[in-house]
Amino acid sequence: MATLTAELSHPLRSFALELSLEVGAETLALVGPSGAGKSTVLRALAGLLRPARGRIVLDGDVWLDRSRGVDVPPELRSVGLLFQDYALFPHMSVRANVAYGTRELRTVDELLERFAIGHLARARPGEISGGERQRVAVARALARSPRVLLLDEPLAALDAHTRATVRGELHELLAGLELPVILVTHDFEDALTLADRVGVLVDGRLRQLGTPGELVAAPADPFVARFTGANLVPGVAVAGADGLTEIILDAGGSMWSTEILTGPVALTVYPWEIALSREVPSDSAVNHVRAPIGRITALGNRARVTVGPLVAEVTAASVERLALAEGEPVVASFKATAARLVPLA
Amino acid sequence: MRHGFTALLWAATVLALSFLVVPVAAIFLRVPPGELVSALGSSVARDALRVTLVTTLVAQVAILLVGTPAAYVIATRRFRGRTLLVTLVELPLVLPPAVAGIGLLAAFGRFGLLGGTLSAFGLEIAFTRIAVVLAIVFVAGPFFLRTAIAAFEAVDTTLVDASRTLGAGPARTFARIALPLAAGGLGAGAALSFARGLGEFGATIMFAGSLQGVTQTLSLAVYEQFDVDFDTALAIGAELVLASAVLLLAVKLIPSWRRSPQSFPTLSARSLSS
Repeated sequence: MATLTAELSHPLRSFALELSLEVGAETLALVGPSGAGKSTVLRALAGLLRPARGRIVLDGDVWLDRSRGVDVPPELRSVGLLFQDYALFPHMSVRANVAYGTRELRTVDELLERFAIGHLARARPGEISGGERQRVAVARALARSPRVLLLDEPLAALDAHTRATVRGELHELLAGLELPVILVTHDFEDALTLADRVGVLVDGRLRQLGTPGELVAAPADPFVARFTGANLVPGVAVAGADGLTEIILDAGGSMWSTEILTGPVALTVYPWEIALSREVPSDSAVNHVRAPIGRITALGNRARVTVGPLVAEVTAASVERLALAEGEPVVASFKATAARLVPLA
Repeated sequence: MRHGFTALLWAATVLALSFLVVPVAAIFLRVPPGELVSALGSSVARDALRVTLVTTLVAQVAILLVGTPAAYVIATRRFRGRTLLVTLVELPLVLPPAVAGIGLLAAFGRFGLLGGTLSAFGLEIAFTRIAVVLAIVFVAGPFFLRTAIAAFEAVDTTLVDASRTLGAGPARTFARIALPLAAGGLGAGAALSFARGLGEFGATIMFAGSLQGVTQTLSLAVYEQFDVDFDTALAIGAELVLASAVLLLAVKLIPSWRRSPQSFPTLSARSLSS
């Protein structure tokens, strides 16, 4: 069972990276705003950056121990690093790129076939599509049989259409690898599909670490909530009737939550937990917002509808059934159990 | 009014071009080609060609062998005083040749800074063929170094990082990634320094003198011959014009020839998929 442990400490522009990680044979997604230190973590693990202090150990092999002056150079670390723009060697053929890190010609042939790039073997990276380039880069990284795989924004360089396909391919690949994999992304959907655990890195520190489900269910703070796609409505929580918490919204009005909390909070609710109707419904939802529709964004068979401070995600069919149109008044409802509260500092 | 202005533009262009072309053309037009070729057979011309070829080639090899790794270090490492170092490298480019010559004498001449040490080892440099080589390296080397630094700086550092994570050490990364990707710039720099070395005059005549068959290069021979045998001077001049033209063409062509198969990846990707 491969385990990578890392303790890193390194000064960045306006804050310090302070991070401690333990990754088994699983995929850990590091997410967070740009400049939070995500890429620095990958560079330090790969040996391309020497952190001010730290220790990196893979299965008992010490790669870095600043206190003892150990710093194994990148070429001896057995790390596969997939760069954001893939960093394929432009002066070499696809085949030469894949073969760069190995002497085993059979491995190269197997990888070319496995990633369906055999027919491109003689092409230059400049002559193939973005999705193909991504596959070449993954094949090249795996050719060395790395003991750790690091992926830096593996889907960021792709257009929206290719992205979905490649995300599926990557999901299949990662599921079959018995390796510690660390994936850096700023897209929660990528993290959701690809990762077993998600670490939220903000200002160099791990704000929250858990399964995607845990992050969605209990975001530790407003950043995590917004990152996971939730609506955020600021207000002040007070004890209300029926054992519920009443949130007096900063923008006026009240909402209700089953979570017990007082003080300044952000009420968070996921778009898919909000229902839309023409009139206030008579079901168990206690939170209603009546407002004109701000915007309707179609997303295939779904649509995101802006109602006051909320974004609701509903099926395209119900947009049609309710004859929703921008500017028309509508009622957005959600249950008190769907309203999670995140304390605000 | 508009026609007047256009005419003015064209007049300036024609004047500039003819002024630049006439002296070069005159070299070839004054004496019939047959006589030019036979003048090249004179002992002065043949000796000068031999001295020039030997010294320029030796100097060029020294420039490439030492200059390439030096340029790589300067281009890829960040250290204190780097800007100052790059400026120092460029100084010989703007130095008057006479100053370069006196500097070389002051350093390597018999009574120079290092002259005593060199004499102790039985080495006399001034007014020998070694002096010609040193003069060429001093004035032409910076042309290569400067272009080579720029060429290495232009190599994407993530490619170098990628090579390292794929198991290649610094030496293999240099040989397989940095060197081939910088090759266009290195070739252009080499052609530039070769051309500059070929025309070297001022520093050489001060530091190495103009001894036929020993230190007299083609450029020096032109100067020596023009009041002795003008036709021979012209013939050597013509020889230098041709060599310079070839080198200039090389400088223009090498980078684009290196870059053409790989320069616009997105464009070629699009043309392939369409």
